[in-house]
Amino acid sequence: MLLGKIFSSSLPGERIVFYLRRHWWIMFKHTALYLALGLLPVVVFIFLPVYLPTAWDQLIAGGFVTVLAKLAASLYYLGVWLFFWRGVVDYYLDVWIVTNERVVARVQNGLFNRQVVELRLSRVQDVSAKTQGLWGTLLNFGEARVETAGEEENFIFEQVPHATQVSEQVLRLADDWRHVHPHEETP
Amino acid sequence: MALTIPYLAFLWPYLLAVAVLLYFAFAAVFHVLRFGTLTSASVAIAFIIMAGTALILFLSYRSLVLVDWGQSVDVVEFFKSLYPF
Repeated sequence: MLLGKIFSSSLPGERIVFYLRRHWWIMFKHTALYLALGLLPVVVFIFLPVYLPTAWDQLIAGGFVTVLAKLAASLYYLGVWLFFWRGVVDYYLDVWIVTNERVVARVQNGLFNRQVVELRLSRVQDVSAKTQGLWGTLLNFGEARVETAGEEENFIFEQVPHATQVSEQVLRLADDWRHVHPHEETP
Repeated sequence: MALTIPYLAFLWPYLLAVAVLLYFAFAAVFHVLRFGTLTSASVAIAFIIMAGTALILFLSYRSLVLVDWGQSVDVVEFFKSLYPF
């Protein structure tokens, strides 16, 4: 993966160690939910003539109820489609990048709220990882937290795969950076 | 006294809602092309969003164009038909 495609300017000797997105399970849950929502009207379409034949007759009669149903179905499917893809775009655009010089988080929060946080490895003080829940434990994903030397908020990798290994590697990279730059002070 | 509402009165809120949803569609496409690295995946996502949206709108148009929007509904009679008892 070309560094130039990800960063507008890369540091000398910089290489990408991790390019992370949230675990695939998050996308799977999102897809399953919207697939169920998409199939819901089909289920109603199948069972309505059996359990509510009067309502079904009104629905297909071609009158006002039919028109309302067509408008509602159109808005429903448009909404399901677009909110599904909004979640996909959110998943796709949330990335955490670890290089041998820095860690970068690019996170989309809502429609027009994008956060880009960059942390130089020289400022890394401590790291921790948290894996919780049934699926997090079974599928090995969770939260990796990087604590800094300053007053900035902790840097958090959310729902990433192998959170423990990620946190260990970040700590190792920070130690390696300090070995390579022993006389450089933390900015 | 009969209270009638033209079918067209329900079309305008529908079109407003469609406009709002289209805003979300364009926002999603804008974000993936603007902030995602330009790969085949991001282009494919943008294309699928637009194609699927266009397809749903087309099918909706095909269904709604058959409606006689000039007719009206008697509200009292309509609610009576829903609750016959």
